[in-house]
Amino acid sequence: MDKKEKVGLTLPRMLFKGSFVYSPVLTQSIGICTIVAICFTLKISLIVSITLTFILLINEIMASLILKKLSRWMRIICYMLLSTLLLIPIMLILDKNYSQLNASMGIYLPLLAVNSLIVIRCEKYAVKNNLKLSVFDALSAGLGYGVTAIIVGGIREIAAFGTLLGKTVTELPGYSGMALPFGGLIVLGFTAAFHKWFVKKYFSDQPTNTFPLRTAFETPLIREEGLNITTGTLSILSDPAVTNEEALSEKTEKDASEKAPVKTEENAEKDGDNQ
Amino acid sequence: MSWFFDLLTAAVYSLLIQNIIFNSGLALSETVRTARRPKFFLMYGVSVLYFSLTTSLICSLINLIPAVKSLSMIWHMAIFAVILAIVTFATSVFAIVVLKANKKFMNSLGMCAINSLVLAIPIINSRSALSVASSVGSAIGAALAFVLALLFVNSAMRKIASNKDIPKSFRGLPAVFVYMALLALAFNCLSGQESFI
Repeated sequence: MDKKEKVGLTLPRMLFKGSFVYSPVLTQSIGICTIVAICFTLKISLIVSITLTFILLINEIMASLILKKLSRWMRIICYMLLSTLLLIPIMLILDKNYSQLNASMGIYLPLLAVNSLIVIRCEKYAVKNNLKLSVFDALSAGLGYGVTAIIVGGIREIAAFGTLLGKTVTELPGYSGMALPFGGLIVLGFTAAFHKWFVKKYFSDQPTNTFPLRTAFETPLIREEGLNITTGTLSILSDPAVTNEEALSEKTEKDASEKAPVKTEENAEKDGDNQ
Repeated sequence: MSWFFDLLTAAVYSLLIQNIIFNSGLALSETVRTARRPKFFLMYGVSVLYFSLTTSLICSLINLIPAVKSLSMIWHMAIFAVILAIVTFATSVFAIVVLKANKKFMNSLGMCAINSLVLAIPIINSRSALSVASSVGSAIGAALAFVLALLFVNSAMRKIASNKDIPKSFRGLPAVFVYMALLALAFNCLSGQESFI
């Protein structure tokens, strides 16, 4: 993001773009563990979203104000400890007032302390920006996470139990599998597809392929990067032939398509025209 | 030899019967994001194994202290998180001072330590009251499950990226999620859980 773009960002625009268009869960696969594992009711989704947004906000504030001066590996430890410190009172309150709900969240609420959303947002944004922008970013990322969690949680609650916030909404038999990680992934997959379609249709100027799979064709680590045993050091052994990642991914994609020719849409259209 | 069978049983259980990634939904985002970068597989696999094994071992030894054992899950989580932080700090210092690790390696090491799997294993072990040998087995099984998941998801990504028949909206991440859902269903059936009743 260049300076001009950064200056032009207002809170509503940043909230909307950061939370919806660039939803961290649906476009970058960040923090899906909690959504898939425990967001099977609307109530739990709300609790998880609020808790995570609060922890993220405090972490980004601290990262923007103090932690900038530390090296990255030390900052990661600080995020972990700070999140744990923030989670303890939240869990004690939940345990005292909503013990049943707390029990149904099991080990997953404590795991918010190591949620990837916190580390990634703090490292990619908060340490590089001022306090105001970091707060905006925390709110937008938290909102994006929350909206996805609520949508997934709502759909799963209806599908699994036929209820919404505990009230019966359908008499159809529930499919208990929807409350399992399998159900969470299916709902998340369809939500991500709908999100992609919606962004492409109504925000055509925004890039939709934010999670390109081209790099999946890269060669394994052993050849390019690893332990330099001869010198007794850990170093990245870069191969000059593969330093240009874009060139590599384009090449591998080309190779893959040459090896396994597939019927593209353009070809299909041409075929249709010919017929 | 009973400790060895405990270790082996726990490892097989975490890897296949109750696959920690697909059955419990742990470390899913790390799996998806790492599966896209095969050149980091070895480093991530070894690091996750190291962190889960070390943390699990230390936590299960500390859990033998009656005063710690009697605490609630909230305090267990807090203690285990602090132990993980200490292990990460010690490993990082060792990597910098002794192994002269570069910045890129240090960044990746930190991301491996923050993997939710690493903190989840000691908590699960503590809740299940597993022995030290079983805790170690469970940590090994979890790390192997992570590597297995990386290989499965990477293979899926390769197929999805080169398959043009997938509807445009489902291309990329949505298709990966659906594929992982089917894998989760398969592992669910393997564990004998009832999915649709």
